[in-house]
Amino acid sequence: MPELPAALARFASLLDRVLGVFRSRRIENELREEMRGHMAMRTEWLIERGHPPDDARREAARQFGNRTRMEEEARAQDLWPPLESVIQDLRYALRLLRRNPGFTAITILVLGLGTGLNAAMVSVFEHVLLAPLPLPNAGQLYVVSSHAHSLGDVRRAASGPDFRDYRDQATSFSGVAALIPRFAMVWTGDREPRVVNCAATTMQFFNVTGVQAALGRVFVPSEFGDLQNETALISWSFWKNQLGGDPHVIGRTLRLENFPSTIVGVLPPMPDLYSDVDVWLKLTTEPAWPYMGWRANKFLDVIGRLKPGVDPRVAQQELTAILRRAPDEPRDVEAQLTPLRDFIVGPVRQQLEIIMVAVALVLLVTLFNTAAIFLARSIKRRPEFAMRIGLGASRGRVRRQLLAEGALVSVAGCALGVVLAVLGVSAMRQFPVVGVPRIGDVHLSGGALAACLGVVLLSTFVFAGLPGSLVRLDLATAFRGGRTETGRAHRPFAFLIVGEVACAVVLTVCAGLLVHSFMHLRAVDLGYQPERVVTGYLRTNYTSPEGFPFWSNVLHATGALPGATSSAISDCLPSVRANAATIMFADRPNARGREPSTGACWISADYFRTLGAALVRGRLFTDHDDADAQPVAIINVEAARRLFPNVDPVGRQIGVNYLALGSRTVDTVPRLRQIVGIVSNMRQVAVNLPPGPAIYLPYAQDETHHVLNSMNVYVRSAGRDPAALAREIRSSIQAMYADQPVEGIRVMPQVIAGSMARRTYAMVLLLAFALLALLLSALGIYGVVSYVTQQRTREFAIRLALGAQHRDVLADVLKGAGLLVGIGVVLGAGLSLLVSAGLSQLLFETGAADPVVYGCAIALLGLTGTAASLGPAIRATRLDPRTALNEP
Amino acid sequence: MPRPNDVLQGTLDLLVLKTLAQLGSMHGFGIALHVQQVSNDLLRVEEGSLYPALHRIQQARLIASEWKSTENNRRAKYYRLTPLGRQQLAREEQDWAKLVKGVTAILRYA
Repeated sequence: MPELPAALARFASLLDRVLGVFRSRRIENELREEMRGHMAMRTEWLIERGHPPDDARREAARQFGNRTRMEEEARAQDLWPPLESVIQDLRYALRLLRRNPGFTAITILVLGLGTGLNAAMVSVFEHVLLAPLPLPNAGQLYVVSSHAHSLGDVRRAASGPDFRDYRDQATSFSGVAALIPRFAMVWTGDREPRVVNCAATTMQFFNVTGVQAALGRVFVPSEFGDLQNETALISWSFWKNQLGGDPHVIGRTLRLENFPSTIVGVLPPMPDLYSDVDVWLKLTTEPAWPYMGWRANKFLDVIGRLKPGVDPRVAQQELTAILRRAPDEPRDVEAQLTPLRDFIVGPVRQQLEIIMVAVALVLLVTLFNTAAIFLARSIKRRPEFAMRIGLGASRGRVRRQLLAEGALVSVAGCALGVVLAVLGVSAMRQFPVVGVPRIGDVHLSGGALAACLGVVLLSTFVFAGLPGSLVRLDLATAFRGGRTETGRAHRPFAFLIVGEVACAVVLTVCAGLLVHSFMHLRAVDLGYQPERVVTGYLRTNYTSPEGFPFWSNVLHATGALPGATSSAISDCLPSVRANAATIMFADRPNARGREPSTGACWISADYFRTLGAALVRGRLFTDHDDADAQPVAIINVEAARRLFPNVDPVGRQIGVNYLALGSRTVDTVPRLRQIVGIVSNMRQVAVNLPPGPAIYLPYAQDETHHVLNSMNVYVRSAGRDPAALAREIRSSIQAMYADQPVEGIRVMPQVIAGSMARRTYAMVLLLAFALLALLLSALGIYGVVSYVTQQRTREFAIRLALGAQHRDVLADVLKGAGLLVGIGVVLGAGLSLLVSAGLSQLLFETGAADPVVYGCAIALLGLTGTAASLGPAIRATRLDPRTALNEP
Repeated sequence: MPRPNDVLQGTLDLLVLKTLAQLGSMHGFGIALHVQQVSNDLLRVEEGSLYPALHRIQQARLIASEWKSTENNRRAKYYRLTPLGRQQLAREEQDWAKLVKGVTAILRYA
């Protein structure tokens, strides 16, 4: 086959010529020696034939021809000329860039910031939202929940009976496990007692998830027969941070709430799965156990592993059928399977997506901006291009030169970006962003590097492509310095400015919507006065009447602190969380399984007084509403409106099924309670949720005494500085109970701000991005308008000389800029409408198309545009026609 | 009026290949001299233009080169045909013959 060697030869030759660039000097030297040798031999040959030496040398040179040209041509055979000229181009570009260090530095910095932000964000995005969980066949793991339209479609976890039904009846799963994902216990360790986060799992958990112990072992099924003989697993971080990485930790005793537990294993670091749990305990869901018998008591996370090849939708139908067979479930109940990963990252998905889009927009703005600067610079250099083309450079060659400059800046910027991204990502690993799951082991991803590469390509194209189009200009125009040309050459600028402004508008609108929401949130009427309230969290060992004196002592001691006006306790935390209860009525028939549900709290007598909520009717609790007194309840205005639409609720009898981990009722009809008062609506569950119906019960009337186990304490300060109380609260409690940990002492406004931290975080980030975009657009507009105005100096000078007014020139410049900004604003507003719909989760009393926000954003961009073009415009009016026209 | 220097590039390649086929291994000056002598000074190459051609042909892997000493103890780059070059020469000789035949035929009837 003669073709093959020929093809190979062609390839080898290309390779040779490419590689030749690296030994170009040697090739040149050899070539020169070869030619010198030839001339010498010809000279000798001529001398032998009788020519005098001088004559012979001249004749040899004549016969040889143009040596330089021959040398160049021969050299071009050994070296690939495009590559060679590329290196030349790069060298030239480097020289140029070094001559403008300011421009170069700013461009690279801006581009680096944009790329770095993007790469870091892409890494987070990929890792948190897209990467599979590091568990074997993690795609088969689903979390089971349910919802029913008749119950308002709220997501419900699973109850003990639900779990037992799934476990015993479902055939789609190779295993299901239940766990109580989060509860607190007091660890009386070798140091000051502290609260540890616990999770309790059924025996299937480790089998289903595939989590294995890093040290020791996980729970084995035989252990679950006797829960009294406690064994515990600890998390990697608990082992490292609290137990000092003790190598003999297996077999050590952990005293939790006075029950000794033997540590049998240490779990590996699990940043993805229940990462905040310190201690893992065992759970059984048999009906004999407390809280496990009642179907409505849905507080368990159920994780199931689908059998290979089973469609999750089929499994979902199967579970729905199982639920609908159960008594007490509404007929329209539907099971819901959520992939475990989505379950874990669900709450932050939207924020991450928003930030991702915002970061991409920032990058676009930086690209547009840098491109505008590049363009302006290259227009200034047009005479140079013209000169080069005039001297014989091809247009392609000049374009390649621009490409080299663009590529150099892009590559440098992106290299900086990668460095920044690496730093950013490792910073995020070290200081995980609060509330973002899986962030603990984020790393720079392939996708991020691909994004960087994309930016390099895109920016090179943008930086070089646009100015490249100018090369087409004919020489005559170019040599005149382009002074006389009209709008045509400004078209690329228009495109850049419009794009930049549009992106800035989108960012400003999004930030504005969040700020607007935040302002609404800040202004929201909470229904109570949190400003002077200090709160703290107490976890005790009491689940029996012994606890009553403890709590009354705590209330007494904190209430008597100098500077305190009153104190209270509750198991809920205002504006952060409340448990739920279902209500049964004594005065009407109850639909089993469809009882209305309300928020619910166990409180002490002074709860409303301490938090500053108002009594609307009836009375508040007193210390006499204790275990021996008649059971009572207080409802809020909303509950009165919904549950007792036409009658006065005060004096009515209701039964309250408290739904929580420590549920007070086990499948029995609850005691009847008399409603004694109505209080104003408090935003009990969250600041951004309108107050729903709520019921309050005196903690002394919890017949299971479970509420005594953990409570929040509130102390209202008389003075303006509630923080001063914080230390005294702890010391007053520990003066009586030295071992009692008091955690999370904060003033209520702090607690409320904390509950909105994620929202605030997103807002601050977007605000920063929007400001950056505004600043960059202002710079871009200023630069471009200055440039365009300068190009029109001669025109303005002529017009001024012919009698035009200063304000005509001013208006002319502003009109040009205004048109571009206007188009950008309209485009950006349209884009914003598309993008801002994605913000819905973070908006509060603010429409995605809020006219105030759009108006402000448009006004802001308009102002920025005008301000940025005012300088160059005024400069144009100050032209002295004589000087301007005499300039070359 | 054609000048003897205007040798078509393709023809130059053919001449170089043919020369090397006859001489075996030879340096640039030797090739130029040979072409000149054999063609009775009819075909005279501008000698320098030999080198771009030589380097091009070498890149095409039709010839190979090495530095050797001449009989006058001068270092020179010697070129020789590769097997690929031998094949190419055969092809080009055929093409040339066809061309000549065609042109002759046209000249006869013109």
